[in-house]
Amino acid sequence: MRPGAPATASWVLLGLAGLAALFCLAATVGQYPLSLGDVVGALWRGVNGTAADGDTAATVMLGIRLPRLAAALLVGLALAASGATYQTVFRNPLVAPDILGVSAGAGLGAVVAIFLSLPVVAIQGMAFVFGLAAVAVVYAMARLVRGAHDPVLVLVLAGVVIGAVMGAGISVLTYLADPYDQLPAITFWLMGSLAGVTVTDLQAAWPPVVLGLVPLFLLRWRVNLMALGEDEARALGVDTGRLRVLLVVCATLMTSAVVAISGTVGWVGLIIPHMARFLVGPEFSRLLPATLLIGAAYVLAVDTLARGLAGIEIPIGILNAFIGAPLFLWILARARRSWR
Amino acid sequence: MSARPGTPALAAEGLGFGYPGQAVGRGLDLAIEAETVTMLLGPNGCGKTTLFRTLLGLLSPQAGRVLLRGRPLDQLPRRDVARDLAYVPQAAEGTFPFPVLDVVVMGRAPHLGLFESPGARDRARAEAALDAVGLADLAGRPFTAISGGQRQLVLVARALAQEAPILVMDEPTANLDYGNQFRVLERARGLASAGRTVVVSSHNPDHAFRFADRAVLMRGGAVAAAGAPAQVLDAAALSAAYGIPIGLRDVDLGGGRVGRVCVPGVGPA
Repeated sequence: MRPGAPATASWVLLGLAGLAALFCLAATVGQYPLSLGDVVGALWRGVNGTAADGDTAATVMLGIRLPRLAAALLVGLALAASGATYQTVFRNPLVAPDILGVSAGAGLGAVVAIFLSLPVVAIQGMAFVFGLAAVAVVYAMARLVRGAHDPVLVLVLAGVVIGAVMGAGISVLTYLADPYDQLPAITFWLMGSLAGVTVTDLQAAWPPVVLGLVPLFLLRWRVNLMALGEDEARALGVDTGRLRVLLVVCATLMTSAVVAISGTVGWVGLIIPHMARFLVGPEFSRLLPATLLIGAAYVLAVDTLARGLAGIEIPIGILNAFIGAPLFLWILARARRSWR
Repeated sequence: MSARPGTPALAAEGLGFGYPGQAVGRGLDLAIEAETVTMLLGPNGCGKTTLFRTLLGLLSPQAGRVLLRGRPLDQLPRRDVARDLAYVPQAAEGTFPFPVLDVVVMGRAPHLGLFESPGARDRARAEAALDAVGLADLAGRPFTAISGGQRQLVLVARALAQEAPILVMDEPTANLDYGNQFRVLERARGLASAGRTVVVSSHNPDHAFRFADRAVLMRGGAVAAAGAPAQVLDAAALSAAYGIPIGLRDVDLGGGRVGRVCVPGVGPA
């Protein structure tokens, strides 16, 4: 910890308070406008079980808006935390679920499952298997050609290649899909959207995210050692092979769990860890809570814009790219030091 | 870590080392005595770094074995090895801007449980280690933003925080200016005097005369000569190792002490 830096607990509490405020604000936005008082009141009645029939505010808030907002939080924190994990484990600030091919792989797995009309849990399972396969192939490719080239470049290029192959697979299935039933589902899903998220989706998505987060939280200090590189970490007594596999599996599990419900939401896994590192430094015990908070807040905010900016719903993936790309350039210019 | 007296701190027996499909050295015997500075010298590509990686257990031997206080290294758990054997690599810039103190605290890893984070005691040890290399006031600076010499000293501090009795330093002076080369090796010398064992490689034979108890001259993956620097590193051996004429001269260091230095490009005195 840096001397004079505030203790982690205090800024985490502050961040949670900010996130709660943002959550309530976001809940007021939508087709049926709610006041801040309506939101808090409906939440309160929901918590103590006094919401009566015909209580419109409570119905809208608890039945429609709450699952959507919860999904935004879950997607944001999961993508951001897995991005931070990949970056530290691969010692590369440029990697993220999208760049490593994990998102595309998980996407292909999910599309296969949609194509076969499988339930949500199967979509998640397929997303996980394909995502893990994608990252494993990318890493194996990078290792094979290591030594001859810049390892960072090789990893990124391998990710691009695998991403393209997975993308081609998705195109094939899109081409073959039933145009009345499956195609709209696939297309909407590929653009990335939280509009169709149901309570069932949420119930399927949060356990794998928690399952991935728990080891990350427990190993939070040890993750730093991976940033030193293979030799140095092993010389400090770390079983790097096993730790790397465990961390990559956790990150991939989180990514695929949320990709299965939201579609491919890009940029979050890349830019949020940068923002967090910029604010609290690279030490993972501090980086993890910061990425979780910022990631959740970011997707919540962008999804709220997607719902409220225009009369129609803008797919979050599209809005996110418009916001994420310039944000990334700005970070690139500001925090050049954290790039080396 | 009880060992019979006279057991070398670190030893190689009939060691074959290298990378898959590429043997770098074979049949190498080496014994590192405790509480000494042993300096490895040899031309580029003679296998110093590969040997170090094998001695540290980072690379499996192709033949023979490495003994840590008489016990085969490959049969010891990684964590136990790390409590006994610290690695000071050549300082690279690092990927992420960890504060210097965080880097030093990482040396505490072999003393912490899998799920444990360093506590106040570990932080105090890291601060003491940083103080010992004279960089206490850099604690909060990013590791990526300090000079190469400072980074090398920070890695020495990390090895101190690791509290391993044996330090393996791979060319710690390679990217350092003249003053920092001296500072780092002076620190290594001081560690040996304080009871640690230091194995270090260098490209400058003068370093061996000045700082080492023993010198090991390597050529082509084998030990060409090993012993007290003044005996092993004669003009003929050095000239043969580096392929240039090298003369040795004794200089008066004051106070009746005499130091030996290499002069490249001239014949024997």
